Amino acid sequence: MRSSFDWDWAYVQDAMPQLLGGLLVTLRITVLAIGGSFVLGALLATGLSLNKRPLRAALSLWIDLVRGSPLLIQLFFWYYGLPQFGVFLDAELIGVLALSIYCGAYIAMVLKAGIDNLPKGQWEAAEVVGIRGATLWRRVVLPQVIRDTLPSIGNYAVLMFKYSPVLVAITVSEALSAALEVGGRTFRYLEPLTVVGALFVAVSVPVALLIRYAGRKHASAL
Amino acid sequence: MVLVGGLGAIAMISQRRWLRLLTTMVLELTRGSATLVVLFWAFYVLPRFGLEFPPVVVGVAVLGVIEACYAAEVFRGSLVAVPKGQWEAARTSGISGLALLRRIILPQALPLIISPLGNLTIQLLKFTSLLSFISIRDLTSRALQLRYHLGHSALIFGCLIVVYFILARAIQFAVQRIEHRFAIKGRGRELPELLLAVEGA
Repeated sequence: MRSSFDWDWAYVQDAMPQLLGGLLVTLRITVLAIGGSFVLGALLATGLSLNKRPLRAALSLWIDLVRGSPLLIQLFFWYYGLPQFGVFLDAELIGVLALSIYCGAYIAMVLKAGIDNLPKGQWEAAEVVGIRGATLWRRVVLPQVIRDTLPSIGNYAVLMFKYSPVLVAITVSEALSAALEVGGRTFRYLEPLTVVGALFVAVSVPVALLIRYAGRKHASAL
Repeated sequence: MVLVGGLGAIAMISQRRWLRLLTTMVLELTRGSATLVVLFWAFYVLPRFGLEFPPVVVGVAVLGVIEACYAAEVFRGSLVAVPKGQWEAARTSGISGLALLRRIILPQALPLIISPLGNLTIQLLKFTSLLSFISIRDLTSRALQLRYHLGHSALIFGCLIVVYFILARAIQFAVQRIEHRFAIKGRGRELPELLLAVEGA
């Protein structure tokens, strides 16, 4: 057996294309999930704000269930459960859906808080000038709420990126699975896992710092 | 976890610049990493350095360290949230060091951290499901086994979602009780922006 600390750069070089390919898939999934969770979150938050009690109760229960259970379990639920109902989807698509649903619930809470914080005058002014229904939401409420909550939503975007390796459980070939595959082929996990771990940090830390910086700037501009 | 987090927080607001920089960097990097990747790394790579532990130890250690880093941020936020005047007034009247922290600052800061810490605990509960990846026989891996033998996937995982949900609810309930008990009288319950940022993270 070789000595314990023997970082092999040639090996890293060989594995790099596959690892970067995996990271690309991870990023693709993340971007899709950001879009999906945002749309879902906006719909949920709007539903929560309408004054329809049964609808609100149902949506609250949904959000609490999603937020109260692990992403991994939900992933299994959709991945193994959907085919039982005759729905067969690609694993990556299920991964995107599960991530969207998971983070959508959190984003819904953020947006809901944003809606509640919107000055009352905005609603009243809109009513006075005759803006109602979907137009009110689309043109008056949501644009302001989204602007105010963007930093928090950015945090969840980073979170989705960091959670996406869980998709390895349902055979999606993202960054972590690429590392495990390379490692499994050669029985050397040191390099691929370290590189992938570093890649995750290298992407998420700058983005997180940027979001925090933007958020602070935004806060002081108000 | 709480202890390490507390130390980290104190180090982060310390007067010594290098200490502050170092801890901030370490915490930032840890929080930027993907939990599952770190878990796999600890499971597969550490044995190469002769550090061979049972999977349970590896799992608890990894989750503990990562949670501690999030907790440190919560603590830091709570310490910063205590008005500056409190620090200055205490220093002026000759209270310093540990006594300052213990008698003046912490009693004011601690009520603020209860709710975010509760959220972190729920996050930790949810993270434990990841341990099934490194061959720990937790709830999740049992469910997978059951599914393998019985089928009924939707039912099994649906039940599991409800079980985790109930556990999370129980934690939330306990946290609310504690928060109620420690609520500072005459002070709003609104949390500083900093603490909210950590919630659910």
